[in-house]
Amino acid sequence: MKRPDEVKGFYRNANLSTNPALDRAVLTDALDAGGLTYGRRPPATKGKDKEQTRPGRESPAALFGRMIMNHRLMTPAVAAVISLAVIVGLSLFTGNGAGKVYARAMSELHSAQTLTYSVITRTGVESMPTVRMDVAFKDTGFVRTATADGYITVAQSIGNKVKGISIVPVAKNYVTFEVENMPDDPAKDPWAMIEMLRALPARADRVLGRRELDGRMLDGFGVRKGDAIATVWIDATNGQLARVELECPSAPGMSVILSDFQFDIPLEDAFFSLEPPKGYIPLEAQADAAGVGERDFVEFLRAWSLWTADGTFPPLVAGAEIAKVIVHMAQENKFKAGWDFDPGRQRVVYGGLVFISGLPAGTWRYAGQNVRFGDPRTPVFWYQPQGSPSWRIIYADLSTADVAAEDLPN
Amino acid sequence: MRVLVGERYLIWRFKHGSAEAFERIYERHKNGLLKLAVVLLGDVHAAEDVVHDVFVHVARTRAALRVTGNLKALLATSVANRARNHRRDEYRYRNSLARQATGDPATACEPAHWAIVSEQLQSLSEAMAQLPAEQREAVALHLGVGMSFPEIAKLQNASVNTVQGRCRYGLEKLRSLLNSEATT
Repeated sequence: MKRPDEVKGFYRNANLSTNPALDRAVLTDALDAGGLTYGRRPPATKGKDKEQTRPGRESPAALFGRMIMNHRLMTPAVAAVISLAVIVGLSLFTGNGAGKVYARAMSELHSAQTLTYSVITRTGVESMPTVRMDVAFKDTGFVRTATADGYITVAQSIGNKVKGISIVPVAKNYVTFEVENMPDDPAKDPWAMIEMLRALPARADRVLGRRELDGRMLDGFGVRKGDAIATVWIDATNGQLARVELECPSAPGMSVILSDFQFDIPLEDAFFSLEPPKGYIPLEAQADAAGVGERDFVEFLRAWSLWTADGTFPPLVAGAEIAKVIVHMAQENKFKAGWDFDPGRQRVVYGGLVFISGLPAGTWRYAGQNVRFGDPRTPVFWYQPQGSPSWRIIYADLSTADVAAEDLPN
Repeated sequence: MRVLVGERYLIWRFKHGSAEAFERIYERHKNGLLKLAVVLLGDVHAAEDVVHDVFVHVARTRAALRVTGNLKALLATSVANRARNHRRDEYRYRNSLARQATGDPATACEPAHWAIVSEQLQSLSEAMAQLPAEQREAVALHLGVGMSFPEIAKLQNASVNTVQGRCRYGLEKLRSLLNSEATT
């Protein structure tokens, strides 16, 4: 005899499947009836078109804003965007592209096999050049970043293990790295990040209107959280994310621009080769992320401030760009006379980066740009240890303290 | 919440003419809507027609779609309304019953069908066909779609108590029918 709950279970488990050929036929009928087309906006009647895009009524900001403006889950999303300058670097060391989170995000993005975009970073540090970096992901767990002048990093993640190679053309050397026990952080999944950025207009404080940029009509939305400002541009013809601009007024001159998003362009496996160029000198780095902690990051900050001629901390702590930053600072004599990026120093930098890469996205913030070692009241870094209700702050004298979330610096 | 936000953004893109967004909506909801239509109508052909009409209608009238609502409930309501209209067509309804009575294979799994119904769903559909229409609708929308009693009450133009009663009696009868089927 079936009990009432068994009847409910029977009901819920009674399923059907569909015939794929007829699926396509039904879908085509509906698409035709609605004048819907792939990849571009169909011609619409003037009246309806105006109605659909009228700011304050049908814009994403107006439609979504009220619903999620105050939702607590959106705060990490914005925080993740704020720290986007390092997402690329983090992605190099995390398990993106291989885990279950990736699979879910993939499904939501029409089973895209590849993802590419460009990141332009200005650090605001004198004589530190603007860095443009092209980023590519492939669903087999590969990620590749490349600057125009040949700084290339390729990494492959398998489970919670990441191995890769970084090529430094100026020094004609390369670093192979291998990191184990990387935590699986859904927020660091590149596809999830793109989805988050796509949804960001939902938090828009301002609707910036429509502008033409590089031949595309884009709808702009301004989002402000704390002292960070994000401007998100959505392609008006297809609703796709086109460009994101990030700025922090408290870090003058520092900005990040993401653009040129592309899905499913063909990328050969050779593009993600872990083989070094011929004639390059090898260096090796190995780390177990489980064994790296705050002390490694503090040591990284301390060492850097001792290396630099003016005693300042690093301009950024992003994995993908740090090699280029070091080379340029060396060329500009920003380091003390006789300084060399020897293996011991490389290990120090590496330990700091591995620590950062193990922190969940949106749970840390670096504010050490242009800050000199010494002031016990100037915070340079704060983060929330996993599972902890409080945050840790590292000050410019490298002392540390535990603080509540509401007492964090602005 | 992420799914919710994602769905709202999806609807927004669909309203702005994105075929990709509509395809995702279609993939996400087609099976649930077909199942609902099958248990409401007891006829796979009719169920396919109804769901096909719903998707065509939604695509055609996308500008009027409200993003703030629950899309699943909206589509299910549309299916329920159309199923009701379909039942009012006496000829088609009797024809459908006649096909069931004679064991016409139209309700069975056929390659030409859009919906390929499992044996379990076939049994459920036959049992549901023996419930009064209002009970069948209340049970299907509550159990299958997850709609609340007030939402169903609004659709059925009845009180919440009445809908709760329809669900309770419908479930009881369904249990009895499925048990008797299991013992025969």
